[in-house]
Parts: sequence; structure tokens; C-alpha cells
Amino acid sequence: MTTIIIIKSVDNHSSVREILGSVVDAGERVHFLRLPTVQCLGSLIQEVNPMINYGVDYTIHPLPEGYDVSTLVEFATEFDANRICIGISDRTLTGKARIDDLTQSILLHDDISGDFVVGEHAIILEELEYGD
Amino acid sequence: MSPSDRTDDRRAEARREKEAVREKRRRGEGIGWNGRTLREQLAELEDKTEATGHYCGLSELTLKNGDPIRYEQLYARLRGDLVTARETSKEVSATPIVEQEGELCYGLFTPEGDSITVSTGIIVHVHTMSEAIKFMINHDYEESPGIEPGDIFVNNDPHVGDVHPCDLMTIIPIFHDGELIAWVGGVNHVIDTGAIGPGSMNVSQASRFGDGAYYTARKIGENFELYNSWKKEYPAKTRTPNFLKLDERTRMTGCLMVRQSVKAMIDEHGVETFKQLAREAVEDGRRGFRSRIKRTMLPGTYRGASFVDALYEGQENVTREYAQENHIMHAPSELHIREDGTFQVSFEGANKWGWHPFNCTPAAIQGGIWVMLTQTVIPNELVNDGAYYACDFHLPVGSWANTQNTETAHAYAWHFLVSAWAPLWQHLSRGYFARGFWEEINAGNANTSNWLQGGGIDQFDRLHAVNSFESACEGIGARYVEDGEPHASAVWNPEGDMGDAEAWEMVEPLPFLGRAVKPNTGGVGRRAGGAGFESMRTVKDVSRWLLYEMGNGYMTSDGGLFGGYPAASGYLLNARETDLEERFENQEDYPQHDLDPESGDFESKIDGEITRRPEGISTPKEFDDYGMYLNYLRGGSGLGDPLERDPEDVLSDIHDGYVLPRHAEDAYGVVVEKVDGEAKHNSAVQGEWELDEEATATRRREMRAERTEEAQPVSEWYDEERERIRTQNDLIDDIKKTYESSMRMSPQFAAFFRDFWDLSDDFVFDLSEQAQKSLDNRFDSGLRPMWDSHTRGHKTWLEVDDEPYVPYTWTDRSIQDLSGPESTFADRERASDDD
Repeated sequence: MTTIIIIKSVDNHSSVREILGSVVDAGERVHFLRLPTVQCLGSLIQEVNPMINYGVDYTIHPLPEGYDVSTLVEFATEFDANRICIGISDRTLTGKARIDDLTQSILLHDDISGDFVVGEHAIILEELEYGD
Repeated sequence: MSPSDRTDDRRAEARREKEAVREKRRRGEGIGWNGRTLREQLAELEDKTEATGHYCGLSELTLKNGDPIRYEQLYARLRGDLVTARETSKEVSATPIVEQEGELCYGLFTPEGDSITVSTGIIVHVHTMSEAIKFMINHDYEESPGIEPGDIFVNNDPHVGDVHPCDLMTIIPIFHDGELIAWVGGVNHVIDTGAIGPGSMNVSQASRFGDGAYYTARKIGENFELYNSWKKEYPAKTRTPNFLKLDERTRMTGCLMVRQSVKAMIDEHGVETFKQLAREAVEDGRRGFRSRIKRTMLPGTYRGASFVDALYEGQENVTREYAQENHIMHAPSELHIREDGTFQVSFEGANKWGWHPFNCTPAAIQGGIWVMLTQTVIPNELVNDGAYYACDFHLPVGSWANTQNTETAHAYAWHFLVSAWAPLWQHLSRGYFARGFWEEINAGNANTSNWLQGGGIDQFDRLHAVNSFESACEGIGARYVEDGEPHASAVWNPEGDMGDAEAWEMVEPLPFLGRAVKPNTGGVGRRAGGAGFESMRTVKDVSRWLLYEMGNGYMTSDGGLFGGYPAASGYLLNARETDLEERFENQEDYPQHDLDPESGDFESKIDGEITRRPEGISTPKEFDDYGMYLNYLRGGSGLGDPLERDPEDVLSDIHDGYVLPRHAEDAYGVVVEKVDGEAKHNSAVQGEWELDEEATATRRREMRAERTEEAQPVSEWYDEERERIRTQNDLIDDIKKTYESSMRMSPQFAAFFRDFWDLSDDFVFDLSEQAQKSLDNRFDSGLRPMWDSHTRGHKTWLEVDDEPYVPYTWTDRSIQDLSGPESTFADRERASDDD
């Protein structure tokens, strides 16, 4: 199984830990996708240590400046990702996860579909299928 | 192409490369490989290395296994080019420290800062520049100030990655197609750091603020051009600006040569081959190290201790009154060899840092271990940071070994470093002995001193400083199969040289009066430790000139091995306000040597204010013309019972000047008779002696009988020692302070000490008010660490819970904890892919 984790902030430790600990299994492949607003994932990786602590092999990719959702979907298609995960960065007053623009764009994209799951700290799009 | 054309070309290349890098940054990509930032790349590398047990997860060495000859050729070419860079750039420097002694080293590093290969020279720096690079990465230098093609960085901060501040590093990144593919660094020992006393390693400061100028991993140039601000800044901070400028050009020369070499390899073989070679070389180094350890050592814990003195009580010119106290370094060392060939060096029980310049940082300790290991364990394996990934270090935070306090002084960290390593050589030797590698056994290395340092207005009427590196030529410890080499090298630079006297005189207003092998300096033994030597200097054409000594005095940190004796300890000898000028004018005798310190010969040939003291350290004092100064370079320790040394060898020792004739009997039981007073030898010795074989045999029988007579059961000795400790009757305050400090630093050591000597659980040493105050003050000082973001390699001294397993330490565990009665290096799952 292959999972894409979109990183919007290097402070996303809890969402990354939840994804690696509860969603991804040891031995699976993970691609960290760094948004242009994030300078560097180094401190996050040093804190979480995905391979030591969760047994996953991973690669870090920068998403280019000026990207749109199609770039992201192409990326997912290229790596035949089974899941896309993104941290919850905003909540309603009652504590429910607010779907951000990026997540919404992915959900609405014609070339990708899947199941939508909301975790404690992360939103997971799983069982992904790719259209034409 | 002329040199200036090459410079212009290089700068134009840097600007082009910079554009490629900036374009990538605009796209949100880092300067690392495949768009990552360096910090991402380092984080991923450390994660994968630790998780898999292989460097960067490399379980297969595809380049090496696919074409081993090509692999060796490529690696040898890189290493050869680094050596060439050093040999060439050495000639740029003006200081004999570099040009004569070769106190210069280059390293080629991966983007994450791991050394791929290093040149010859001061190989302690195989890892210090690594730490400096990792510091820059982990503190986001890529973001600010930025890391781009043509950039030049400098570092001399031990808390970042160095041994001491007089080792100045120049580090430059190497880029290809917008990616940082490697770093190259060059480091050399400079003459003067601008400390409160002249020379490179002043002794009278209490803290970092007297150590001299610190340059903490900073960018000092772009486009291969130094900033004007830097060019104006650093010369003003040293007494020897022109020498430092040339040193900097030396380092830049070498770095640029190495960069050119890497570029050429990429042009010829492609960048992917270079990247693969860089990765595999480190993994190969790691495997080679472990396989050597598995082959030459037995698993287990090797335990020892060393001490060295640093005495400041009553010294003048110490910068702070509270620093006028005596220090004794306590270095209990354990070498834990695991069954998979990895090991841990532990200094658990080391005592507290002090108000002196001999404190160490982890980079210094790690570098010191490497300089030792490359000469003994892995001389025929790849020398790079692969060994770093096969070792871990337990360095108690707050000890002299790991102060984690940027207030502490480090100008001469080597004093404690070299002394602390002394048992480690012997740990390795014991392993070699057990495994049968007797030719590898070595009793140790000399305490590398004396350091002749000073400065003032020199013979050219300039402000100047001096730092004699005759200390690069000490006696080496005895080997099992041979005597130690006399006056040969230093542990930190095995290619050391004493340098030509004329070369020293060109930069030091200190003419040589004599230079000779110094008798009785090598430790006696069946195999004798290599003798040291001495230089007698005078002073000429100076004003407000200061000189001082630095080395071990009362204590020798290098014990003998297998019954051998330690090398001789140090002493000071100098003379001020002498009548040397009159003696020259009247063609009278004057001292050229101090070959026999007990003879009174020196004092009989000079009048003046003579200082002869058993200490090894003095603070800067003023010397005028015709003052005198003995530079005594130490010997190495001995191996084996001296009574088993071949008497003919002792006779040769006398004629070679290694042993005084009257000590042949004391030390070796060898009786000789002088038969000729005129014969000359290839030494300072005049006269011929013959061996009296019968008297020697008799004397040796007598000495063995005397030993039997004087010997006592260990239990009796133990009871006497225990009583001394328990009553503290004849223990001086300095000793008590040392042990109390260790006990306060380490509950394990305290428990071990009390248990070993059967003391009460609440036993503490009674200290004087002054000693108590000193300890309290230092323990209350707290930490001022430099690093905000540590690497995984630092974790064994960050007091974290997941410290790598060691077989056993102190009283917590015992030999019962071995995995089985026949503990061997059996294959383990993690090691199955290794050689």
C-alpha cells in the first residue's frame, strides 16, 4: 500500500503520528508531500522518525510553487497511491474538523475518488481509484 | 589558463550554479537531492540508518559489488586528490606548524555532513567538520544565511564541531545542477587565536571569554570571494594576522583543489556514480570498522582510568581569583565491545568541568577517538564517518568531557583528551593480545607536551606570537614486538616531525642552544617506550615577551602495559635575567641541555633566576633577551617487565642517549662500566660503556628477591588503602575534590566507589571550604548548550532513555550477563548482510 501525507505545517506532529500509527502499516510506502508554504520537513522527520518508530519507508517531495489540485492528483496517480492523508488544521466551534480548500478540491476532482474518513488529527482519503 | 583566469571562471561558474539553485528555490525545492532540503535529507538519512542498521539503509553495495576494481579506483582517486591538496596547499602557509609539521587536514563530506574520505594530517578532524556541517544543517542555515554555490563558511567553535579554537576550518559546498552533492573542508592549527595570552592555546583563562576569537559556523564569503567585512574583522583579532591570512589561503587552496577533483570525477563518471560512491564508502567504512573489531577484539567491557594534573594554585596571571585552584582530570573509561562489532566509549564517572582551558566537547572526544582508531584499529580500512556509525559515546553532561556550557574554556582540550585516551589504547591492546594480534599491541602514546608558547614584540619589532610544534614529535609507546619509536610523532598527527630548527628560528625569536634525545623519558620495560627529546632555547631581540609552559607535570597519564613503566612525567625549567650574554662574550660554558636534571649541570653553567618545578603548566611570564627555556617533549610508556629487557639493548640505550648510565641498574638491573671517556656516538652521549654480564645476572636476582620481600598480598594492600580513604588522613584536598566531583557527577560511580572500598552508603569526602565552594559553584552553574536541534548521534549523551545497549557497566551488571558461556561474534540478524 502507498500513502501520500500532505504536510501543511511542520507542527503537524500529531496528525503524522496518527497516520503512521493507526492508518499505515509497517513496511508500507509513504510519500510526504511538502506544500510550498512549508520551508522544510526536517524538524518534523527528526521528531517523528517514521522508519525507526513506525517501520515505513518514505520519500519527501516538495510541491512546486503555483501548484493546483491537478498537480497533486497527477502525483498520486504517478505513485499509484492508495491513500491521501492531510492534517486537520481548522475546526468548527464544536470541535469538528473543517474541510479546507485543498481537501475539498481533491474530493471534487474528477480523476480521483475514494472513501472519506475523519480521524482525530487527520483526514484520510482511502481506497482511492483513478478515473480517465 | 592563468590563475586569475581560473579564478574568474570559477566565480562565473558559481554565479551560474547559483541561478540554478535560486530557480529551484523559487519552485519550493531545497538544495538537497530530489528537491529536498538538507535538513530533510539529514533527518531521513539518520532515520533510515538507525532503523536498518546500514548507512542510509544501504544493505547492498551495488557499485562496489558490481565492479570492485572500479570502486577502489574511484575511492583511491578521491583520497589521493585530498592528499595532493594537502601536500600542495601546505606550501602556501607561512607557519612551520603547517609547512613543517603538516598540521593541516582536508575532508570530503556527504551533503549530510558525513566524511567520505579524509587526507593525511590532523585526522582528529575526520568528524569535527562533520559536526560543524550538521550544525549548519540542523540550525536551518539553508534558510538563513543561505547555502549557495561559491559560499565560504568558517568554524572554530568546539561546541559546534571542533577540538579547540585554534583549529580553524574553512568549509565550502560543492554543487552540481542545482543540488548540493558534497562539502569539502580544510582545517589547520593557527599560531594565535587572539586570546588573553599569546599563542594558540593560552592557559591562564578561566572561561571561553579568554580563549580567543570564536567563529561559530558562519558564512564569510560568496562567489568564492571573502566578504570585505570578514577580511577586515579576523586579522584584527589575532597577533599574527599575516600568518592567519596565509593559513586561510592555504585552506581555500586545498578546498578548491578538492572541489575541482570532485567536478572532474562527475564530468568523467557522472553525478549518479559520485553520489553512489559517497554513500557506499561510508557504509563500507562502517562495515570495515565492525569487521576489524570483531576480528581483533573480544566482546565485553574493558575498564581503566587515567588522571592528569593542571595546577593553578599560586600561579600568577590567572584571570580570575576563583580559578586559582588545582585540577586533576579523572577519566574512568569503559570500552564496551558488543558482539556485533560496534562499541561504546563511556566516560561515566568523569569529574566536573573546571575554570581552565582543558575542557572538552563531544566533537573533541569523538575526534580523539578517531585519531586513535585510524592508527590502530582501521589503518587498512576506509577512514571516514563509517566508524562514527559503528560507535556511540557516553559522555556525561556537565563533565570535563562534555560541558554543554558555552562559558567553558577549551583552548587546550588536548591536555585532557590525550590523557583520557591513554587507557583506551591499552584496552585495544588487551583485546589484540587476547586474539593473538601481538604485532598490533602498543602501550600508548606520549602525553603530547611541552607546548612552548608565547609572544610579544619580536625580532622584527612586530607584535607576534609563537607556538612551537616540536610537540608533534614525541616518543611512542612500546610495542609488544619492538621498542617504541623515539621522538617520532604525536597521537594527533602520526606524520609528525620536530621541524628544522632553522625553520622555527625564522618565526620565533628563540635561538636554539641545543637539541638532543632526552634520557629517561621513555617508560622502562622489556620493550622500552620511545624516548622524548628536548630543545634548549634562549630569547633574543624582544620586548614585552611572554613565555609559558603547558603539559603534564606531577602526573603521567600514560601507564605502562603488562608490567612496563609509565613514561616520565614533566617538569619546568627556565631561567630569566641570566648571565648568558656575558658567557657568550667570554666564551664560557653555558647550558645546552638538561639531560640529567638531578646532576646540577644546568645550574652550574648559568646564573640567574632559575625556575625548576615539577609542575607542567605555567602562566605567561615576561622574558628578556638571554632568558632560557627548556622545551621538553615527552616519551612513550613501556611494556613488559624491565628485568626481562635484553641487557645488550640497555647498553645500546645508554649509547643512544635513551637511558642515563647510572639508571641502567636502578631501572633494568643492568650493571655497566665506563671504559672510555672520549668515544662519541650518534647522540649527545660521550663515552663508552661495557656490560658486566655476571654482575647484571646477580643484580637481577637480587632485585627479584627484593620484589618478593616488598610484595604484599592484595588483600593487605586493599585494607591499607581502604583505611586511608575511610579516614581521609593523608589524602590531599585536590584528590578528595576530584573524587567527590566524580561521585557527585555520577551516582553509578559513587555506588561503585563505595561498594569497592566497602564504605558506608553516605560516605563523602571532607573538603576544604574553598574546594567545597568551587564544586558547588560549578555544579550550580547549569548548562548553556549550543545546539538547539541535535542529531541522532548525540543521543547517547543527551540523557535519553533509549541509549544503545551496552553489555554491562559498573556494578549494575556482571560477567554473568554475557549471552552465553561461549560468547562469540556469532551471526546476528542485524549483522547478516555485513562482511
